[in-house]
Amino acid sequence: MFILVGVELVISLSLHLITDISNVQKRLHTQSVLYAELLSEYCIAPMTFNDSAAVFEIIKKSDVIPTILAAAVYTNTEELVSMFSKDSLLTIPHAYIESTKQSELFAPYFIKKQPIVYNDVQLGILCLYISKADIRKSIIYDIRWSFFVSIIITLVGIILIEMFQRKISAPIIQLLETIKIIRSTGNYAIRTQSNTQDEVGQLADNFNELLQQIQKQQKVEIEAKQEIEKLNKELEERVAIRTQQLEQSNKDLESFAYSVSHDLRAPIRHIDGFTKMLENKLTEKNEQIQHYFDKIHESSRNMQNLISDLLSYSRIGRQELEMDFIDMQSVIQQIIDNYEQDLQSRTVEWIINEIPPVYGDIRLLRVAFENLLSNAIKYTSKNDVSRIEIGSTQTEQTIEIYVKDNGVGFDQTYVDKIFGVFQRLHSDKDFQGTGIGLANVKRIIQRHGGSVRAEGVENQGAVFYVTFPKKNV
Amino acid sequence: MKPQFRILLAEDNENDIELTLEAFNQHGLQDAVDVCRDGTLALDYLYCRGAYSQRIAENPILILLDNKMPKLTGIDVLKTIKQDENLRNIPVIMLTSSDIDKDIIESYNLGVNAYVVKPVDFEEFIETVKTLGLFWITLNKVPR
Repeated sequence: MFILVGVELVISLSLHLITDISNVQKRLHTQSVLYAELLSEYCIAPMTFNDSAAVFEIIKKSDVIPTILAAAVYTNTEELVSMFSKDSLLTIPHAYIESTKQSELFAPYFIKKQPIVYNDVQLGILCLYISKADIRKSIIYDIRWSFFVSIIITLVGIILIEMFQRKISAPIIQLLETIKIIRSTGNYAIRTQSNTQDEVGQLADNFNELLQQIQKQQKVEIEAKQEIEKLNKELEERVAIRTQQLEQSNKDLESFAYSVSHDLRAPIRHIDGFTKMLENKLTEKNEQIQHYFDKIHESSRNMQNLISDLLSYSRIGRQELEMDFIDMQSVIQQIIDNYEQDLQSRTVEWIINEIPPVYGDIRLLRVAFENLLSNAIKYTSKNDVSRIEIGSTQTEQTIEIYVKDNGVGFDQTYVDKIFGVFQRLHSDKDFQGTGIGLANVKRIIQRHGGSVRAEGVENQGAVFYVTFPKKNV
Repeated sequence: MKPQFRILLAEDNENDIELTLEAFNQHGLQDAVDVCRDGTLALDYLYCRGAYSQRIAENPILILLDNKMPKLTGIDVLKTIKQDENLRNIPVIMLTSSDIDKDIIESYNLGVNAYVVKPVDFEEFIETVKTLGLFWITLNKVPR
């Protein structure tokens, strides 16, 4: 800003100086022409009479003109006729010389020549030595003035710049400060100052309006967020209460089932006991009576089995899990070894693939795989050769163990029923059972955070899959 | 002929009493069994008080306790017996239909001598009673 003003000042001052110098020079020339013409007129008469004293008298009159330093008159043959000088330092040549010096810019004077002519006859030459002091004075005067003016202009400029800055920069700086504070604190309640009606003032007003909008929006957002949080909290509380209620009713149901199962046992025992006593008292029994006794005993045994299964199912749901890494390979092998005795009369082909350790409760996992393996043995009992395969597949998150058999299988349509409590897909006459085994398997695996599924083809076989989540050590 | 020793049976269910007595009867021990129909009566019997104040003060050779009884449960009675200097050496058997882990553990913690779940099958029950009698009355020795 200052540099620009300075350069502008220098340029304008130089221009002014140049025109001023040329003006003074022009004025001097016109003056000198006038003086020269006037003096040469006066010199006509004395020159006609070759009166050098008269010439001197005439040129001496130039004494009153301050710009004329000296004057000299020469004949046509360039001989000095007369001379007058105010300046003793100035040397006037005795012969007319076409001086070149006079045109030099810094020469202290210049020479104005004027021929003395009468009736078109040249009588001599008048030379006037004109001082350039006026030009110098004028330049000095100009420079002084310029200096003064430039100081004033600079001062005025500084004042103006200061005023402009106050008017434009200050609000913008304040605006920037405000933005900085908002950025660092996130507080949109701050406002920038706006005192003027100009563009900067409008900018500040618009900025403030924008802030107002942001603040409003922020408020709305915060309120919405709070509302969502409140709703979430309420929902969580409700879910927690509902979960607690569910857990409680589940617990109640479990303990109800458990105590009912126990209480049911006593009457069955009594029925069986008194029937037996009755049977013993009857000495004469025909076949039909014996058949009825057998039916009563069989029914009470069935009832007993159902109750036991119900109790085991209930127990699986209630039992605390004791989790550890279980060597499933050896657990499965132990289960198979236990069946060895029972399977001596049958041909069973075991295919046991590699099974990884599983994180779980060994007691429950043993029950689950006992169920799966005893099912495989049971439902292949009508085969000439039973083939039972156990293996596993793994993904990054899961371990899946399968038990595959070539037994009677099942109709895939009813696959959803197969894991239900007391749900059976085969009649008791074909294969004995209460229908609790797979329900227990499902419950055990679910308690381990896993899942079960089954695939079956009637008379070709079935595959049961249990999937465990992998536990990261 | 009445046997020399007594067996205390604490049981509230009439049917169970009848069936248990029948089981003892099959082994000729029916007359040795004294029946108390709740826990309080069982303790009265053992301390010869109340209805049993006239009883000859002699400890039974075996105590069979049902757990689920009115007033005092089998476990309550067991607790009192095992804390009593005079009674603690009598073999106590929990004879019940409950196989709840909690009951079994609690009974053993209190010093029960055996915990037997009554089999549903009557013939099995008779066998069980026979085994109990054979072991606890004939084979087992208690301090005099």
